[in-house]
Amino acid sequence: MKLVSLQMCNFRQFYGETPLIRFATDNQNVTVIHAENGAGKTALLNAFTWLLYDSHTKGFGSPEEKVNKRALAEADIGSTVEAWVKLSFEHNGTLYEIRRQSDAIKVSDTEWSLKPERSAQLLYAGEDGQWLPEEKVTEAIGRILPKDLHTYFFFDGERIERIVMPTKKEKADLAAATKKLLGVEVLDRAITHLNDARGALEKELKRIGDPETLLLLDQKEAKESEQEDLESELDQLQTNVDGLIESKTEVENRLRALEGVQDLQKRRDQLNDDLDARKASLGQTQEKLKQAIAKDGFAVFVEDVADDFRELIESLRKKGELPVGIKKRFVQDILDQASCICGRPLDAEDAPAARAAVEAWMQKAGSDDVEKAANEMGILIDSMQEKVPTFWDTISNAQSKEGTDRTEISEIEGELDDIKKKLEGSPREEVSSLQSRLSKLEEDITQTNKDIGATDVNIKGVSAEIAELQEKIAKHKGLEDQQNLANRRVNAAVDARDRIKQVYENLNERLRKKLEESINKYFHQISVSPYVAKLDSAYSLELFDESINVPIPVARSQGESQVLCLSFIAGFVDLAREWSAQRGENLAGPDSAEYPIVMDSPFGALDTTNRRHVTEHINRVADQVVMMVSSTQWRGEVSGASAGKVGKSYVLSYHTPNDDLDDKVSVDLNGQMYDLVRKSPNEFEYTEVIEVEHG
Amino acid sequence: MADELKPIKDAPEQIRNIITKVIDHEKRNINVRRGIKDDVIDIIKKEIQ
Repeated sequence: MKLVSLQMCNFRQFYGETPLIRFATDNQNVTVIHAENGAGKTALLNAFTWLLYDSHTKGFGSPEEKVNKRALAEADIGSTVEAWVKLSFEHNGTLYEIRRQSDAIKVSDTEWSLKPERSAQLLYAGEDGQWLPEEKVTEAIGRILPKDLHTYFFFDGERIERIVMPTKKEKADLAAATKKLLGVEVLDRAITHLNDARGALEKELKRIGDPETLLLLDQKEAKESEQEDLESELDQLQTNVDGLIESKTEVENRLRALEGVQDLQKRRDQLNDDLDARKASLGQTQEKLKQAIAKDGFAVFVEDVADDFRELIESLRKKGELPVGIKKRFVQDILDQASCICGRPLDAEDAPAARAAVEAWMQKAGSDDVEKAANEMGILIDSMQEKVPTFWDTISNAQSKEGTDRTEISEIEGELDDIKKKLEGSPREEVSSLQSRLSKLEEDITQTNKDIGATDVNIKGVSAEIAELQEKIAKHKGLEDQQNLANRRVNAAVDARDRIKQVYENLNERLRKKLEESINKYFHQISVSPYVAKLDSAYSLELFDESINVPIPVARSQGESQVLCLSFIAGFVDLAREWSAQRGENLAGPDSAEYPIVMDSPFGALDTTNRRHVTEHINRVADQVVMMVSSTQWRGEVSGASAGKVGKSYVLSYHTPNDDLDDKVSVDLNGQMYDLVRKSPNEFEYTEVIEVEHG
Repeated sequence: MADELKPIKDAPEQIRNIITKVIDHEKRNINVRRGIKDDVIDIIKKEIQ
């Protein structure tokens, strides 16, 4: 999607028809919208989300009220006032225009009623330049940029936390939308439909199958239904645990806010962090122990064998059998040549006695294989024995570390228990009841996690039984040709489904890894923080500290969350580009890999360094960037770092009826002053869009 | 060719044909919700006779 222009009419603060806001492209791809708070930055962001997705951001108050108040006040009673937004954009070389409208009827001087909102209209330019209507607007927009992903491309920087801390459902939507946008959805659908076809073909087989086939099919059906029940149970348990964790966070927040127990709760937070770190360290030590035992543990048990070996070798040496004086190979070579090294012939006919004497040496000669093996074994045994002291050192150090970790964990848990008891026994009823609730929630979380584990094991068991039954059905030969044909068709559906499933899983894993790599590439370009972003299989994005051996999750600051979100978008756009380029060899892929981002207050929570870093890289985050900034956000480091990147700028000049406005608020852009706030000539507030001249 | 596609590349010819035809059909009908299952059954029946 390449944004071309946006126009609004009587939409929220924007009175009348605004001029076209044209969006910057190519080398200078950043469009900056300058506005003070309340001037319409959020309204402009919502013009996009309403128009394209019929949705609103959280900061957009009274979303049903779209029509400008001044336009309503000036209208005749009984007349209809229209508010609309129109966007032109290009996708895959086709020009589109989407328009959405909301109407209000003026009932009296102070009242108006809202008409039901009309659906959006989407037109596209045909090859002859004629505008043609697109009937399925939602589907068409969904294909260009799925609704579930739109919060990543149209967002409010001050409320960005939600984007990088999604709920379970939001994560599932994000994973699904990512796959949809990257074209993997085709495979998902193929798996579903092949599975449905398999079910229908099995029914046909059941109609004509012999008793054994019927029995196997019935058993499989029963197992499939059991699997379905277990999967929905697992889903419910996961939802429950999410809810419990959310409630736990809520209770902890309330305890943090309570006078008198704040310090205890803070200490508990610190102890919980320490406990996580210690547990991670314990895990790493145990892993080290496991690896040491697996690699060198056997060396301890070969000591007795080594002594036997040395004794044996020593006795061979004493007997003179080692080292070997004369080698069998040497004697055999002489016999083969039928000539001794002294020159005497050794052929059996002419010199039988001499040949017999040499042949007798064959019995005395040693095998060079034995000597070689003895030497090699000696070296091996020496190296094994050398390993033993190092092995015991490693084990002893790891065990001592494990002991220290366990003691620390026990001490931390003891202190946590003390805090819990103190809070439970608090004379303040509010405190004790919050702590009791917290303890109950913790117990429930532990129990639910155990149930999740058990259900997961059951699902795996049932899946294995289904696969076994499927194999029996596939191998079973019926007596009738018709039955065998039906069976082959079922097997083909299963085989095709399973192969696509495997490819789907492989591609998903590759997608996730690539996305994680791209996120980190941008995160480290933009952020000064040394942390590493990890995207797990459920599309949960976390930051980890990898400076110590075991990666430890770190609590993100709001600024880090913001940079992480921008990195996610940049990484995503990168991945979509790459995926699109490899479309031919990937079976699936997006039509186009051109994406814009529209951000309200992108520097919301960033410090000076991060502001500068974000601005320096902002033009690379997406193909087009539209950012809305206040005069305080457009500070020296931002305006300086954005030089050469901004292709278009607009000012949302806010007209206020407020008499207290002493002075105009202006901004200097390219050497010209533009009013950000000025006195309204009437009793209405409204916003005017002014294009900034670029020299 | 990406390794991820190996399970399809290694499939017997009939299965590979079914997979290719089903995926092409899905691509053409990405927004169609109903009737795809029957089309897939047809593809399988035509291929396995």
